[in-house]
Amino acid sequence: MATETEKTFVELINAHQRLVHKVCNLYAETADERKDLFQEIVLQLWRSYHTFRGEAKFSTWMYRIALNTAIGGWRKSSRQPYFEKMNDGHYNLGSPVEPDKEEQIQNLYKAIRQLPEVDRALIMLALEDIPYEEIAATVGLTQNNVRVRMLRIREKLKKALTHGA
Amino acid sequence: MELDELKEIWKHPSATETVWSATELLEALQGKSKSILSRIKRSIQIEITTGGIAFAILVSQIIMVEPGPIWWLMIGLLVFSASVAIYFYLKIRLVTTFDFSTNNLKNNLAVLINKLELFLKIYKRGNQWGLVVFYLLGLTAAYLEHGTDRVLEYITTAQGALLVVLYTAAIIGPVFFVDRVLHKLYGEHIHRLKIMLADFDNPTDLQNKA
Repeated sequence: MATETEKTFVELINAHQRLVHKVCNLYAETADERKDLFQEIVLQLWRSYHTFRGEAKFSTWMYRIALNTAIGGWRKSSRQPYFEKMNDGHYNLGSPVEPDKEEQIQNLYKAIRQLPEVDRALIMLALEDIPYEEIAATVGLTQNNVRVRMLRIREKLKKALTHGA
Repeated sequence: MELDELKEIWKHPSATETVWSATELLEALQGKSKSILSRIKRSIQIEITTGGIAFAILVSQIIMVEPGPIWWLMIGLLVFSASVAIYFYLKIRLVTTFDFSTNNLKNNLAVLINKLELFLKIYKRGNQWGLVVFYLLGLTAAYLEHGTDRVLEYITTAQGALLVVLYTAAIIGPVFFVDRVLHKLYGEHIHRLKIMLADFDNPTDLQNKA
């Protein structure tokens, strides 16, 4: 039987589930790894839930833990990748996936995955429309540094997407 | 391609984003963590359990053995085992005092590397010193049991010398073995984390991972 805290936490995670999936798409390549990372992030969020005081936005708090887990805490399994079977409990988030858009988003994920881990976090936060000030605080760089790196990242992505990721 | 165009693509859901139901999320909360610190914590818990069993066996032997040189040797081993508890405490404390929510990415990584390196250092030192103590205790036990003259006489024979060599190898071997295992289990991961940490200050160029 789930406690009230567990229920509240699960509701919050449900509302921000896409964010966790995006982190998984950037730091894990196979369906198996993505599933492992998703579970690990949810677990770490739950273990740190007592530190969330509501002063910051839940999503900001989530970014920090999800990225910290993906970058430092999680270790890829050595198991062989497998093709994930879609079951009744698994369905796509948001609106139905359009084939053209799917190719575009997959190419974007692939291009971002070619970046170093730190740059992946930076571009993800930028794509989520997070202000540079907040990105700098989340990552641990100066705002100026974030700006300079973002310019370089955009160039790299442009190149990767033009030449096919 | 401009950032706004990328943002437009980014907004669209991908086929790889699959909803976890509330039931699955609740199950995930009870799941087993695969983080490096959780793995270490579990291995320490196994060590503590094994150590506890060895401690209990030792105590039962002390009760049964008549007081004498060997009995005192066992008492020495018991005192040594008690000091090992401090070693376990240090190790377990390292892995239980880490919070993913308190630091930014850079500081978090630095703290994690520091903890993992300290853990490895304590592990290696503990292992080296532990084996040295066991080595000396083994030799002392032989002296106490058979007397200095008989032991010296025995180790000058081919069979005795071979036994000493094998005994020494049995003590030194695990030191190298454990070092290699630790490097394989954690050393490579720490190395990867260090490269990432260095990347915060000195960004690397686009890595060709394709």
